[in-house]
Amino acid sequence: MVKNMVEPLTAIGAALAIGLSAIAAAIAEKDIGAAAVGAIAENEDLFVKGLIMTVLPETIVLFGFVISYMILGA
Amino acid sequence: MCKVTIAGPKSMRDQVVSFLYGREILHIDEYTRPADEKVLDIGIPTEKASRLSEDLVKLRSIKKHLNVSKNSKTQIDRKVVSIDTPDQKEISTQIDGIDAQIVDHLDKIRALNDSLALLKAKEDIVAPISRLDLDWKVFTQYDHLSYQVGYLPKNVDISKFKKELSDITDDQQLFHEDYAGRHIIAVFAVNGKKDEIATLLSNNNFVQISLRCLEEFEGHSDSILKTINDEQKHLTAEKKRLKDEMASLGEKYSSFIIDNEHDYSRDLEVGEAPLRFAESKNAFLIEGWIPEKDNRSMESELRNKTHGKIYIKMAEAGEDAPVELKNPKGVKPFEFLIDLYSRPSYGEIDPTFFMFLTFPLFFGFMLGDLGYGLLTFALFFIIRAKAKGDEIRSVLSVLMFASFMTAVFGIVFGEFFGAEHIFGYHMTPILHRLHHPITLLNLAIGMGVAHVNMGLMIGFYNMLKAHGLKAAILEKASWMTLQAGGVVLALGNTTIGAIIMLVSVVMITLGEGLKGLFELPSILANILSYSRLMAVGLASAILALVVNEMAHMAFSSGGFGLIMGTIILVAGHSIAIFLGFLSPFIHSMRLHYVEFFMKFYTGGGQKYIPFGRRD
Repeated sequence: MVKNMVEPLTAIGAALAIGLSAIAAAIAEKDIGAAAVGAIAENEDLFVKGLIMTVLPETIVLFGFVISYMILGA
Repeated sequence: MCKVTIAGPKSMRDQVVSFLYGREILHIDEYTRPADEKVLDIGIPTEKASRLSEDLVKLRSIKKHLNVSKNSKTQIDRKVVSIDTPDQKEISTQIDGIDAQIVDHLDKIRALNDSLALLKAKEDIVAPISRLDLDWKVFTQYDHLSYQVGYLPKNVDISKFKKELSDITDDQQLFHEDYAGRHIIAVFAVNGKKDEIATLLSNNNFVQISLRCLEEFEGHSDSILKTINDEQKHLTAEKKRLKDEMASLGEKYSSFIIDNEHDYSRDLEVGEAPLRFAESKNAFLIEGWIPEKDNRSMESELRNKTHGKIYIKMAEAGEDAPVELKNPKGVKPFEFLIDLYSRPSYGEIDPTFFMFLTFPLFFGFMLGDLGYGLLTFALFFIIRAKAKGDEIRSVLSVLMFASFMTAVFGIVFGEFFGAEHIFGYHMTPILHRLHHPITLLNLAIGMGVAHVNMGLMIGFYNMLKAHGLKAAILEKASWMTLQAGGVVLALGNTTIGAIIMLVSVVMITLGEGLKGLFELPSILANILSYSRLMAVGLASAILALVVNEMAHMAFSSGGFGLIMGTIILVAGHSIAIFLGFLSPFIHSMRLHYVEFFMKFYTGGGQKYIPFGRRD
């Protein structure tokens, strides 16, 4: 019984790792993105700065992504 | 760059300015007057400049109204600067003439539009009433009668309404007809029953038409309508005639307008140049930069031109000098991506070439599809051939490089529009993305390690040049040491790895202070960030695959499914290509701006724009 649970739980763990980290990145990007759009509306030159700031939290997903791969691969 | 100072008597000023304009090498350092400055002030534009700017405003308004665009054949390089064009008066008069004609035409068109709007309003009233087949003279002032004209909603039962009306009084008459989904009615009744009829009407949601503005009409309502329509036709024809005249004016004067706009804005730039440098009562002082290779020739030319009456000083440029990027033709489009971020500061390594190497590489690695690559390459090539404007052409060139690398990686991954076949021929992938994702991930991380360390090495060089070897080692090489320690640690040699890492941490702390300590994990984050190369790539590959499978399902059902399948294929791959360009472009850009540039790039440089250069 316990043994049978290992595989599904591994899959759930991997899913949680990527899913939750994606939600976290989304929450972070939401606020930055809104502020960036506001700033760009004021001054178009801030486009790239805004873009860079907005995509910074993406790294969070990538950590989750790597972890979920490690969970599945191990 | 060389810092140049040119000073001389005011009498030589215009000559010097027009010479500099023609040479196109001096980047003027704009003069701002310090608060305590007594002698030098901002220069005063030439007298001619104000007249020029007036005419230029007129020219531009003419150009806009006549819809003249820049593709006129007479686009010649009019570089000769004429400080006092002899025929300027004549041209001025001509401009005034054209301007007057246009203003006249525009006034007439505006008046016509007003009349047409009024006619339309009248038509809207007369057209429904004409259905009632009445002579207009019935709508007049009566002593004992009153009348109402207007609409009843569709759902009102006219025969019932008629009965209710005759219940009120017999001294009435109702005319009614259907018009545009409503009833148009006219009720005539004796004055005494006016209020009761009004109540009845309002109970039936009556909408009244006011006839006040139409009192001048006479005759049958049909003929009135005809008069209005005739008048409309006449005015519309007149309006068209005026517009045609404007268009022919535009054709007639297009080269005159374009050439003179060119000349005028050039002369104006020369005339207003004194606003950008300093002047005293009797002398002028221009400061700016010129490229080193030109400084000798310009100095002697200027001396000859002015017979040695001016003072020129050349000096070594400092950090505030403007920056001109010099790249070979193929690499040049990538300067666009650099300027989007920030121009390099003076003396810093220009990263355009590195961007040229790795930007398309990352892009291709992510999208990686032979079909997409070839299709979009052809597409961008065609658009680029037709596009005008340097910026848009740069973007398209960058995209073409990206498409090329997409095709190359398409061969590596063995993908053609998501499938593994090209028209029946099986492609043997060197690396199958979906079957070997871990290999793909390792490759991506490997590229990350290489890229980040390339950034650190450039940073090392910059630091070496700017602050010496010690700073370079402590601030840049230390990070590489940290990575090396990590590798040794991962390979299993715990003690040595830990020692190397500890040493590097000490170096980082010495180099960047406590801030460096907090940023220690950032190097890992930076490198892991490149795993997006694999993630975005897998997503695009799977998207293409899904499109193909959906289409396959539709095709196998036959009949109508064949059409559906084709639609799914075309629309699906179009979306996949669009997304496939948007997200790798942004991600590739981000990897450069965030992970790569932050290792070495300062930026904030000023763009070198020589006085006289025009787009």
